[in-house]
Amino acid sequence: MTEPTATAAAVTAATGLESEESARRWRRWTLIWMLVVFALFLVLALLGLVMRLVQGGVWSSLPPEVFYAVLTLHGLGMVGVWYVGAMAGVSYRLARFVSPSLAVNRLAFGGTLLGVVLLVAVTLIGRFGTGWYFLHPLPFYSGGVWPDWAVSGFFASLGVLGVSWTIWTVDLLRAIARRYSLGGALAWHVLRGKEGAETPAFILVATATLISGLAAFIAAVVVLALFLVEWLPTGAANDPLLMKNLIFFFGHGLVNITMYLGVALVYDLLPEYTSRTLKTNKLVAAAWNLAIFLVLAVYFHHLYMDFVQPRFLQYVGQIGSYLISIPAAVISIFSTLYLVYRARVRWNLTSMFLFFGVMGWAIGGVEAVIDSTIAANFRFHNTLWVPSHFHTYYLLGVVMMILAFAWHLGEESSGKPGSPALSRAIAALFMVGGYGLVLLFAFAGANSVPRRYSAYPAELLQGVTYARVSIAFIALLLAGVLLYLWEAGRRCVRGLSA
Amino acid sequence: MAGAAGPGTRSRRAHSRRALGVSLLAASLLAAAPAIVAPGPGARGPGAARGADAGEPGLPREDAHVYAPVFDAALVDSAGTPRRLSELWRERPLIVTLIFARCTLICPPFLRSLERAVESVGGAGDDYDVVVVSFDPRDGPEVMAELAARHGLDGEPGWIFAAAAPGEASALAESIGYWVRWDADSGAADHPAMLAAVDAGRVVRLLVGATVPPPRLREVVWELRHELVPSYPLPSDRVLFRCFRYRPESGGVGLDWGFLLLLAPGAGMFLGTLAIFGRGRPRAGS
Repeated sequence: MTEPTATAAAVTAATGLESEESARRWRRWTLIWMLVVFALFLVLALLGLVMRLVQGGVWSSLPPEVFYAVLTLHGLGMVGVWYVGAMAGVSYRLARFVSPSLAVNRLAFGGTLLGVVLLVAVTLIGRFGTGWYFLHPLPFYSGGVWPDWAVSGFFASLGVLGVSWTIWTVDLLRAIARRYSLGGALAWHVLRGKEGAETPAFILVATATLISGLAAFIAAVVVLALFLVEWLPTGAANDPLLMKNLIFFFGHGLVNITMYLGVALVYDLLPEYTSRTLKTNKLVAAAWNLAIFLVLAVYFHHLYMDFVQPRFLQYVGQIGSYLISIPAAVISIFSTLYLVYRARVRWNLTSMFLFFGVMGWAIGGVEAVIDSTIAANFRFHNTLWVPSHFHTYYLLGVVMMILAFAWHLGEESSGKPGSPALSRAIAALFMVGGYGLVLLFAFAGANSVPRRYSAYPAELLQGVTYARVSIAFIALLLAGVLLYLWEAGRRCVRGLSA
Repeated sequence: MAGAAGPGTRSRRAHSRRALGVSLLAASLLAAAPAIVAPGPGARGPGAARGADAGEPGLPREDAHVYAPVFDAALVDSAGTPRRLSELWRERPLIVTLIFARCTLICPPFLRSLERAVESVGGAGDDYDVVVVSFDPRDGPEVMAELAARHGLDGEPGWIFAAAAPGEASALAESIGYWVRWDADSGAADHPAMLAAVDAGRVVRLLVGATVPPPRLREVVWELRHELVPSYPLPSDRVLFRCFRYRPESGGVGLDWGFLLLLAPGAGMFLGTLAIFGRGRPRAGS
């Protein structure tokens, strides 16, 4: 058993952080990443508020096509922002063990900014409103709502983001491969019960996650190529079922690996705040090795409503979804509980957000297991229950994990610890506002309120009530977000000049 | 119809706008944006969706203009009352069709078929109105009244025969994907037979064909009543890859070549991992 900090110290001499200058550059770039993530998070969160105001009838004059453009930007933006947030955090922490390329990190930053600018343009100016899942053939059938340039721009945005992020993923794996063999990084020697060099749990989780990321990005390349062939004057068309499978292979995969990158940060950071260390034992190694395979089969649960999908794949989706909750989620939840149970925990906003993030992941995971049950999914699939599920494990799960990292980084780089009282206030606002938001989604879903409606017809007026009540919780959450961003942001800015 | 902005004009404008937009994007993203392309005429994208718009007119595609806004044409009904199309769709959903009164080919049998289908499905005047608009500038309100009488539809609830002000019919036609090509020698018009279901000013469905089968019109009326009409697009012959192939003789499903594309990400992941870790030279670790 090796303490992560001790491990890091032991290997520092052989890694990219061997010089103070190198460490400073990495910290500076990660701070810039976090500041960009903060800015985008605030804007995208406000767009979420806009949608609930529209659904609640408070801002009923917003045209539906604008609502769907906002829905697209909010969904795709949040998925992308937290993916890059997690990648930036993992890259920074990984640089203590191995030598990722800072140039590739910058390339990913540039690609992300360009992709975001394009995405904002095609949605807010072009009114591209397919939803974040851009299901085939919807992008080609705008019904006069979005122009052709918006379709080109959307695919260009995905292309730029996909290329940048794939290069980033490959570079991190390359850096790990320079130091660890594949078996070493995935702790196969631990699985075999043999002696060998210690594999930090952080390295194991990061490696397994980045490998899964390759599959998601290859699916994205395939689906973009197929869209492109159809968009070009080739006369060729695509099978909507194949396209939906590929889109969710990519989409679910991206969300999945973002979650796991967040968990990698928990494995790495939380022990620094407790008196315990986390060992890569046989159970942890088996769990994360298995997760690489299971991630490939889980996305089928997005296609339960597609009656043309063969039944055996629906079963694969249900069984895969059940199984994946055991290795990754359950092991990580027990690991977290082990780290804090009766331990001398140094509670600050980082450790609170890490712990609450795992809690949100666990609660969202329970919702996920319910959703992935075919019989339940048939009732819930098109209701607000599903947004409740993904907001729980995203907003109250991985987002809190990444914000925990950012707070840690801000304190570390500025040398200014946060006020305990303010930290508690921020955590309370996040918990009350966040859980109020997702519970209102869940209640509405259980009460048959459909999702993706910009306005509710007379038969579904309960949706208006749920939306109005949720606005109060969103206000609390936004107060917490603003306080957090102000406190963390000024520490990050101070850290930039440190 | 000379001088009116026809589908060809719209197509050229659309292609020019698309080409300009795409060129600007391509210029700014030269190296990093492989997804940017300029779809040309006949593309599978929106250009192709308006199949009839590109070059030689063909049958309009039924899936092309769904949710497209319908032009708010100024009409004069057969009683001589000026009305805008929007006044009509604010009252109830519409089934709009374009004809010309002197047509001796497709219009008369199409109108009879529509009449029979409406009678079979029911609901005209309650759930929707049928609006028959002439695209011939020579057809005034009296001509349309005569046409309605000829079909026994004058005064029939839910049926509105109307003439359009000059230029209005062509804009209406364009907005729903309809086209007209006049033959100077014969004075006749070449045009498709189709109807557009319009709800709140937008196209809900298009039906193309010389006859209107009642089951198809029934689906349209369900749609106009806001009832769920389950549907799933079937892959056409132009589909590149299918995941699965339905076997009608057995009712079973077999794998098709496209399924390999679903395996590609997993295979690529393993090969990529082996390549990355095969090239790396570990300096430590097990």
